[in-house]
Amino acid sequence: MNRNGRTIISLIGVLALAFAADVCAQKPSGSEVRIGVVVPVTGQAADVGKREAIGAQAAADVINARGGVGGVPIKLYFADEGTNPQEAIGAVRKVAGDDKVLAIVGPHYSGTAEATFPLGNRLKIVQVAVASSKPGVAKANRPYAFRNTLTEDKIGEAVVKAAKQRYGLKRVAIISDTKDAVARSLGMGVLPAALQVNGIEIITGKDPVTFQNGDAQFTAQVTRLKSLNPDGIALGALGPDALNIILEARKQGMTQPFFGTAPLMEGNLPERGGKAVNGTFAGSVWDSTLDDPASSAFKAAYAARAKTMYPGAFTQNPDYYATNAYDAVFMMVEAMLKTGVQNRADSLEADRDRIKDYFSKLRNFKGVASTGFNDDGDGVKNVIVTEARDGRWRPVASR
Amino acid sequence: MNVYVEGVLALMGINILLALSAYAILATDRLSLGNAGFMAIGAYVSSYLSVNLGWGLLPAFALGGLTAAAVGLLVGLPVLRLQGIYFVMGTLAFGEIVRTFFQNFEPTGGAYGMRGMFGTSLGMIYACVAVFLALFLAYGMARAGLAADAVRDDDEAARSIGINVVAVRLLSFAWGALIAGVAGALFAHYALYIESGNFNFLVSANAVLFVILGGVQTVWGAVVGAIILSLLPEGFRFLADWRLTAYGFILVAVMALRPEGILTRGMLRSLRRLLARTA
Amino acid sequence: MLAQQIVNGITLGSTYALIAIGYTLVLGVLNKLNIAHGELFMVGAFTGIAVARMGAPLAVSLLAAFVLAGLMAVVIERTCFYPLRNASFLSPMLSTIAFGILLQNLATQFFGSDPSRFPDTGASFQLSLGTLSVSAIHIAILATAFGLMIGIDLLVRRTRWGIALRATSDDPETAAQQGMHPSRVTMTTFFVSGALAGVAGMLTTLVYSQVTPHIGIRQGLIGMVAMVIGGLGNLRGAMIGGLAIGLVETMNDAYFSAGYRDLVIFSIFFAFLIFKPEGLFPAHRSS
Repeated sequence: MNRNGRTIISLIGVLALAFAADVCAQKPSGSEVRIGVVVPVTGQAADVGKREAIGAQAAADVINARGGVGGVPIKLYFADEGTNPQEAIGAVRKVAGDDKVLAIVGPHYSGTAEATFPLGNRLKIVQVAVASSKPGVAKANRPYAFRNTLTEDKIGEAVVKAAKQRYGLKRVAIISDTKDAVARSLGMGVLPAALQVNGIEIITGKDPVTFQNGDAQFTAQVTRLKSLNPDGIALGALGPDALNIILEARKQGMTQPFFGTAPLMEGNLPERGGKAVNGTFAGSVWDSTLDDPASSAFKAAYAARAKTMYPGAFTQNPDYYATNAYDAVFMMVEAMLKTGVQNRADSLEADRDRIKDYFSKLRNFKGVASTGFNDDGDGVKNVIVTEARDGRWRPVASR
Repeated sequence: MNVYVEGVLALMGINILLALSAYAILATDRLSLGNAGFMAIGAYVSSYLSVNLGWGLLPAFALGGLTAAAVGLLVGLPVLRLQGIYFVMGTLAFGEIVRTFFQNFEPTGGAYGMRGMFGTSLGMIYACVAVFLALFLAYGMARAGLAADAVRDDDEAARSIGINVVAVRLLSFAWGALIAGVAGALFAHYALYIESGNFNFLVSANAVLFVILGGVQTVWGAVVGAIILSLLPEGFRFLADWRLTAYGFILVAVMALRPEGILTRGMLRSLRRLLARTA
Repeated sequence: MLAQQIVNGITLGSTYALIAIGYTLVLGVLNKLNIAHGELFMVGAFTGIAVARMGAPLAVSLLAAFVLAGLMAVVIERTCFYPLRNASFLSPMLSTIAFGILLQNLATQFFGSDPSRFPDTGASFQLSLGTLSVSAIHIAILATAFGLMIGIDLLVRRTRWGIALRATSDDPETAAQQGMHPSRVTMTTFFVSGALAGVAGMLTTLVYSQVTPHIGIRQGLIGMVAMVIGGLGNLRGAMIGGLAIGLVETMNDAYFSAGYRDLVIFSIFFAFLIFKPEGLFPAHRSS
């Protein structure tokens, strides 16, 4: 080979080596990898939010025990969103701007997410909401908005079907929130559709009985429900309100069953409601009685962390919201390793975009209760219908 | 700039504007507990214009403020006829009506609130503060300002020398509404999200408290009061949980011990003399 | 169902009436608004919860709510009204706004901003009268509220305090000359007004399940509305106003939409202020 040929081959060799070196240098640098966690630890969803926080931290514990992200430990930066869009915006600004995290686990509700998702797009940082399930929210906020939740329409159909099977429902009345975003879309959209699909008559037609999230009393509403004499009542409500409605109904002598979807699983309804709420149906994507390897590992990590973080009666047992947060952290770490996130001060924007790109294509994730996202940015999961019985939510059927 | 510090300064600027809006009305010896309603009007109108109709920020803010002022004129006419406590309750009722109206008004989001606004910067907020403050000072030295002072100090006497007391009060009311409306517009485009609960009675009450604490006799009192009460909760952060309680105690203590507020006319005069001497 | 909703409305309205009466008492004696009055409702509610959580029977909780809210009202009088009695007309009312904020923050400190509930009181029986269903708690509320209303009415018309109260509000100077200590009359009046609000707070929480530190804002406003509709300065008017608002709210929630609840109430308020500020039952003396 002549001298030119040798030069060319050496050049290619050098380039190849450089390329290989670049690909191999996928390990992040720096002293810590930062992930933000914006969940409510005060406000209406405080109990759930604390469980989510513990779930996220439990994931970080497991990852750090294995050596961190390519040798660099993970540190979670928490900011309370207060179950309140205003505070959530401030929290996102803080963890993204001051703490310079690579991605954010949170926020919680749809009402909050609808406020912070546009901000996330402007700041170009991924947010993975952990409880937002109102249909369409992530879709309207591509590309940085993701939700590790199953949208309500899918849960609603499963729950109504199971409730009909158990209780032989033919005529149902709907009571709906007019204030909270998710509860309202449940009562005005998701539940009516699910009832129709299952061939159940909606006594209240297009005008459900209404209340406002956080109302102190429900006598007028329950009296009206009672006068309609339904076979069952569909709840377009968040857990705390649902509890009060059911208690008032039992006080007024109603014995009919109640049912709703995922938001019912907050507010510790079975624990607080006792016998009055037995038989209430709700929907979920994971149950703490599951014992496959992923669930067992999660439960162990969660239990260990719950001893020191927000210890208390309502955080002892993990719920599926906690798994959403736990899986979200693992997803982010997987994204970082597979896309070669560099974790340098000057690579912040690029790193955040790498995570975003990875998430938009994530379809086969192996999580506790997560498999990745669909084209709309929403989670893809299985539905587990649950009922309140003897102080706990217990699975009824799973599809 | 640190995001946290920026947030504190931004809200402080908006608080100063709210204090000015409350002062405009207090300066004619009337207490309005409904300025949050005008703030809401400014916020929602400007947000609808910028988000739904694609207007630029400046015209959106201007129309937001002007709409609030127009409502101020309309509502002021019947309400200003009320005396003493009735006037206070009338403004309170107005504030609540506006809040509950927006809680139900679907085109601006109803109970979900409104999102998609952005664009307010610290510079914008403080530019507005400077402009309104300058207008207040100019007005104070003009004949119209002296008329307002007369109205505040003694209704009857003012009327007897030919001052149209009703007109003065109505214009001051609308002026206060305008400032509150602009504050609302700035707030909406800073907070990126608003809902009716952002404009509740406590907001109206705080606007008044800023002025009372700072001193109701001069416009600087409103500014000083707003600054102090905006920074106090932040300064108290070391108290962690007890922060807000301490804040409440300070408020009550100042009211009881120095009801005329921090800055009085006399104090301002002494300050000016001091500054003149050192100059 | 209508009859049942009327019962619901009157029960709710009786708690509003208690608040409105307290508001009117203070207005009558001082011609000023205690804007922290709603917070006295809240204080009563939380006192009741705290005492019940310690294991005390319901009657003790009720008494505690009564006394503590009453005392807190006296504190408000001494802190916000007495020191500012010679200051401008508006100063005391502004001071009560500050005091209200302080009370809200204190309650948040001790009870958290999330809703607090009464510990379970066990079974309550239902009374059925035809299609009407009335629970023991509802009966208790109606009995207590109406009992207190009648009691206050009698007190104001028959006792020495009541006479002193009316004399002081009509003409403080002459009353003082007659030996009626305006300061003492005022403090007693505040105590009663606070105690009533406190009882309303505890009863409401007991029946209607939960309370937050900021609940006083709305309750105070509703009390104000009831007072104006009934007739400023008129005790019986305040009672009727409270019952009326309770009915309006219940009917709105039952037949209209809960979202419009406060819009309806405050629009009625505004209309009364503009067109009929003297209320349904104007007080015969000028206020």
